[in-house]
Amino acid sequence: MSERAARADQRLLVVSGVLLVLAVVLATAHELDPPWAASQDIVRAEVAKHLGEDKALTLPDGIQQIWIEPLDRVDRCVTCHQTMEWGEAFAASPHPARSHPNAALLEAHPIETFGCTLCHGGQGMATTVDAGHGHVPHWEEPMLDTKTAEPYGLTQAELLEARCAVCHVTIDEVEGMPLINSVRERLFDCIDCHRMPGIPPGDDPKAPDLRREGEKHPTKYTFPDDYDGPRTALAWHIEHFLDPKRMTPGSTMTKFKMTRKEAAALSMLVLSWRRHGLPPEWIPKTE
Amino acid sequence: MSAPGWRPRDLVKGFRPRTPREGADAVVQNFVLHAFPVRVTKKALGWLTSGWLGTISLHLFLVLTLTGAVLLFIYVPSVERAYASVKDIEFVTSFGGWLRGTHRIAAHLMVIVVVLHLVRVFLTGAYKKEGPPGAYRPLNWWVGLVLLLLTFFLSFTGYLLPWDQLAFWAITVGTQIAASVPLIGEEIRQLLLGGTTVGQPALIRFYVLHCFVLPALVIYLVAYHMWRIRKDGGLAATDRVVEDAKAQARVVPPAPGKTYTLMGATEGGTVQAHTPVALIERESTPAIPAIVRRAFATFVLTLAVCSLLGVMLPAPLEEPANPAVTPNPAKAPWYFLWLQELVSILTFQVGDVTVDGAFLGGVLLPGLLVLLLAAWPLLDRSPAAAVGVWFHSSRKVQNRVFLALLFATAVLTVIGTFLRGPYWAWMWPWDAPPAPPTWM
Repeated sequence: MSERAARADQRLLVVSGVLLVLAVVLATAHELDPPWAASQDIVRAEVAKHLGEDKALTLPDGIQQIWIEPLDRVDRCVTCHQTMEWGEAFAASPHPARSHPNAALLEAHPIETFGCTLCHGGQGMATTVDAGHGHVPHWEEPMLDTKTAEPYGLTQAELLEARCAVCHVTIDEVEGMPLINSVRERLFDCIDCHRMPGIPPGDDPKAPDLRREGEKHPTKYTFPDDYDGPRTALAWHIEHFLDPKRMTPGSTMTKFKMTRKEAAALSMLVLSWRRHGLPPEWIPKTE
Repeated sequence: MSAPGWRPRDLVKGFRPRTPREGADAVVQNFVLHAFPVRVTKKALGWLTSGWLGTISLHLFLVLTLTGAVLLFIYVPSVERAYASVKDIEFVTSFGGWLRGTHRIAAHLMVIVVVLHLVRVFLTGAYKKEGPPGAYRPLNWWVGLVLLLLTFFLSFTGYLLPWDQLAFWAITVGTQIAASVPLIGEEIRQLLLGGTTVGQPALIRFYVLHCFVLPALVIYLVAYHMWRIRKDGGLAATDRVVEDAKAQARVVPPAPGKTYTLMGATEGGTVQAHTPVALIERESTPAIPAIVRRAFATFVLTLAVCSLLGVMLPAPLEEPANPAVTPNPAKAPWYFLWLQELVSILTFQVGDVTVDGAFLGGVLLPGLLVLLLAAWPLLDRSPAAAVGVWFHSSRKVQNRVFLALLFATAVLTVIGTFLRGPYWAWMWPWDAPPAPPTWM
């Protein structure tokens, strides 16, 4: 073999070796500085500020998760949100060190049992800020935060009631669900024609059975050509409540008088009507 | 690979032949000792002779085996856990995203490089039956064709494993194409899927094929593929070196090589015994270190390129597989999109008759192409002088037809991949359709 070919091989080997080292360095850098490490630093600093260095040192390091056994589901939100249950002292802390704003609610729904995403949405399996909060392509349930609520003229707390309603299937008022409570009575306008969960059927329900309406996949909704709002299942139902014929040409449904907010509340209720696969003991009995 | 007369104590004591015959047999039958020749022509080592594409294909297979072996420990082949286990690989496993990204890139590259390897062999006439005594290169061409199909099938079976929408619908489309085989199409589809739809039986079948059956077949056939190169007298380009040397009368007549007489165990001779190119000092070089060094360098290059792309281009993972929600359009894996494109083009109505594009474009045409490729070594009438020469003038027409077919395939693939939107209608990449509605 000529000297020249040998030198060419050596050059190739050197270049390839450098590329390989570069790949290893890039991958290792990602491993050594995972996206959640900076968040844990914020939390640790905040804990040190309020409760002292010693307490901060007791915070767990690395990915944390809650395994919701009955659903075989994990929520890794607690990797960063470690002080969610630490009450008042962390009420004004910067995210992700801020505590849950409603301690009573949290006590009634322990994190260890229910995790986070069951109520809040988002991608429990993820460990990065964007992916975790679910505002990424190919994740169907983004976190129900201010950003998600805003296009519907709702606050985050109001939008979250959509998730309360998944378990709290009742015609009675439920504490902490003011928006949906305000429209529950209106469901009596619907029972003549529709079947709905948790409500006795009317005499002759002719219109579509709504007991599993929340399972209809968003891609099955069609929007009229002149529609330019958000293309979501929730938006579709809001528009449909406000003007049934606009969204479903030929619909015989009455155009009830209601505000946009009431329509949103009713839409959230309708979307919560689905088979949820939750353990029966989680579902509150109707009083 | 193994020596005859295997005894359990060999496990710890190593192989000790009981007779000279047994020892000779063991050497003759050992593949590893014959993976490389003793001497190799400088021509065969050159970058421009082969592009080293076959070697790089094997390197890619090695990279896939290495990364895949690790992924095996984490991935769970069940419809309940598959998707979540891939998410875990992305978000929790140390170096998981890198491993998966590298595995995916290597898989795509392997499809490309194996096809390019076939193109090289065709354009250099390296499959031709004209060759030194004892050589029969068409056999290796056929083995190579089987390996090409195995490569597609390996990639196709791996496509399903993440169990996301991309996987589910690509396999649904792909197996529907298979179902248009006349008479037994539906049976083939159900044999693949273990049912009538893509579900748990399909996942476990694809998993076992992808991780065990197909790699085992590839390892076996690649070993044979490489061994055949030795039996065929090296790369086709070697023939020209030998002929040139003969013409210049520089050939030393074949010496009664000690090696061959020692191997009284074998029948016949090797190609080298007839074509003493190994003895032409000026044209050849010891295989060790020449081949080994270049093979190692190309392996490191392959590993580096895959690793770097793997870390820079994360593998996608779409929504969890949902049989109730069909993406529009649903596309087969990219290397089958030329077929899906053909299926679409060839499905049309003449009066009341609907022409079945699935059969024409998905089965008949690719089937004919594979048959034509398989039969070509027997049909190619070009002279021996065309063996191992790029674009030999005697093969002008067939090379042009081959390249035209290749180009058409590539164009159809690009159209199917980038220029087809909902309902398979033409769509420029810049006017993508509005995103489908979401929940909230």
